[in-house]
Amino acid sequence: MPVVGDLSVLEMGRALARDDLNIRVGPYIYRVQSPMSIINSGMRTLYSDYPLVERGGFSDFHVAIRPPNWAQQLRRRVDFYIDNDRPFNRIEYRHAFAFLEWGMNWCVAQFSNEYLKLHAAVVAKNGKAIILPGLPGAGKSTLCAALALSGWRVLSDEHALIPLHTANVIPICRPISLKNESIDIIRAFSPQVVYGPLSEETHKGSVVHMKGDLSLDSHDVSPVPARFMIFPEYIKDKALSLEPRAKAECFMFAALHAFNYSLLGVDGFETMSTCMDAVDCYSLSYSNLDEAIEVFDQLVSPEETLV
Amino acid sequence: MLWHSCSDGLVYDRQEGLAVFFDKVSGNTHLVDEVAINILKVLSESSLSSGAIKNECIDHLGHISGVDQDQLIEDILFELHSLDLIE
Amino acid sequence: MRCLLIELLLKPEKVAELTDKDWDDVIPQARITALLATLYLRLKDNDLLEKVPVRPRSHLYSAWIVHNKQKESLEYELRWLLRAFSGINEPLIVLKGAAYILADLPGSRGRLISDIDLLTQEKSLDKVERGLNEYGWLSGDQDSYDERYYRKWMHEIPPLGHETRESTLDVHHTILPPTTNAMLDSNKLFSDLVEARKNIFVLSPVDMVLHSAAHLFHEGGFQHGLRDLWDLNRLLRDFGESVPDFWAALLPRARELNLIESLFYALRYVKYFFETPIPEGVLSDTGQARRGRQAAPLMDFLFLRVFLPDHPSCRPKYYGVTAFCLYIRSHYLRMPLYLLLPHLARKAWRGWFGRSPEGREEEFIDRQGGQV
Repeated sequence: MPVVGDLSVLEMGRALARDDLNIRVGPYIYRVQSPMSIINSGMRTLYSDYPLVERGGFSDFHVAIRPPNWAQQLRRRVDFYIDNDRPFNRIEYRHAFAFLEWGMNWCVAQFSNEYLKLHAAVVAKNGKAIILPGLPGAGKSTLCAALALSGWRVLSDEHALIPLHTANVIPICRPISLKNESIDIIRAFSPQVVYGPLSEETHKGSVVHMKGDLSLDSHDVSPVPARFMIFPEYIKDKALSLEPRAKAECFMFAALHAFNYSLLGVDGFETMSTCMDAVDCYSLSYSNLDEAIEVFDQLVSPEETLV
Repeated sequence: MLWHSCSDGLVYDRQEGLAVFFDKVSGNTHLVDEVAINILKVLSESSLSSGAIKNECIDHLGHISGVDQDQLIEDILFELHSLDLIE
Repeated sequence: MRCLLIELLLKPEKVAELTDKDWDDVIPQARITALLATLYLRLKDNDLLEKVPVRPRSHLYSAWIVHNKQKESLEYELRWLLRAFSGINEPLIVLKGAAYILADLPGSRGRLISDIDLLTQEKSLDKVERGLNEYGWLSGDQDSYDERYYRKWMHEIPPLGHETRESTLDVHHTILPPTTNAMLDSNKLFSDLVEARKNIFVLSPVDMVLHSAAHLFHEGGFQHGLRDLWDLNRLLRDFGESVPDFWAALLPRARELNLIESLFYALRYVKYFFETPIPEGVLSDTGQARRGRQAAPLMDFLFLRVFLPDHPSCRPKYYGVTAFCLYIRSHYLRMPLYLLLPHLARKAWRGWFGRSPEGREEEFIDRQGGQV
């Protein structure tokens, strides 16, 4: 199957400019349009292994990032478009790539209700998925990035897509978003890390996206059964601890931070119940990434022996 | 005064001392403790006074010591009422 | 101009002829005009859903989930509204989308709503607002310009948001802005109310149609213009069949309420876009009754464009200009000219500077952050 990396810079630029670039991201097809070179180079870096889909078919989300007119082009400001609509305010040119990534996430968060969507990262190994809900700042993206660089498959760093009445997760692998000090932490963790364009001084500080599809099966879309739900928390200088948690409490936390739990009503409750019964729940506090990853490895090891 | 349920709930209870209660009427989800879930259960079957509710909950109150049990039941009833689950 | 969405709404059986490429146009068209859920139920009611390929179908379904949740939430809010209104001894009168849904009109199938519109007598406005305040609906932190604008020149007090449940109420005391050139005696509306459910009232069928028409042709936003036109089409078809003497009563009532212009355009464009069966004579009588104040060819030029979805697949030339002309027109209809310019200027100014891009980004990240 052809992938984005097969395109030359020129071909990529032409496809992006003509609204002809269709890429498969998990269960969805995005059509991306942009005349900007920062988008071209960013996508060539981070999406090189994503499957290309032929033009002339159905795409789930038509997104674009471009200046709305020449005046804004001169002021170097751009808009994010979905279906020709601009749901957000204008942003600076230099934040365009981070904004495109956020916008692409937003499409799923806003418009897809065929799955229960938890706000969580999901990683998998040995056919077992681990759901990592977490408040922003708990370090879930950093941990997710380190796991990706240690042989784990990342199903998502943002959305756990759970088909209704199952305890499975549908992979939707996207670049992993890292902020501020995490950027250097992960660079130190593995020099092999591939970063896209850096967006400095956004409202979240410095943001960079990391190539996240590092496993051979990253773009496989078959569902993966969820076996654990872990609430990670990075605490400086803290010795690692892994504590079991009550399922009802984890249910409530995950539901509260879900994108569409309440929208789905009874289906949301029932799917959440099915999912919670299938997973063991833990709180993990850690200060050392290697130690945390060791715990993850033990959890999914064939013998499933716990520390 | 008799309390009765004005909710229609689904419960996720794995005997952990806490349970999740989904109210189909409002679409809201609540995390409730063992005593509260028992109150919701008995009130969904019949309307009861505070005293009768306390008797129904006696098994779940056994391990709670050092508090006024009548007051505890009243507090929980007030809380459930403010969540529009009972009236 | 061929617009697949309109064709599909009108003739759902056409779904069998659609290619993946066609769906690639239809889904954005329906999403932009808030008609995804309407299309979903239109196809479902005709047993045609399985003719839709899996991917587009899941977008239609996803929107129906939202509609369904809105219906359930509306039921729950109505329980609270009944409590609030029984406390102040005023009738609970619901307008527009929420009214269509609660009265279970055929046109409400798939209708999305963003807030609940209520009607009350002008003299009861303070009482109603205080009563709603007691039940947690409060006017937010509107800045003073908005607050004054709403209270003085618009037909409403500021939207009231619920402090915990986040539902929004728009309380009107008339169905038109008081400054509009069309004068309307609101008291007449209250004599014909229909009790749709115990203690919940909606406008009579004729008034409901006239309100929908007046709203569409006096408000400034046309992003959902096609959706509003679809509402009118469904109301007219439904009432035309089920309400005796509906058509005979329409024009006299429009004359009584001074809404002939709105009715004329409503009938003209529903017929044009959705082939609504309007009895011979009703349209021509309405046309004669209006004494031609505006040049119809110009209005046709504007409206025939602006009702199409704002999407490249069905957008005619000059869409931007057209939408702007109509924006000016609706403001012209709404307030005296000396007020028009400062308001437009201020609104544009606020659009440019009102909220920082970062603020908006923040909001969008927060929205991503999820809500129960």
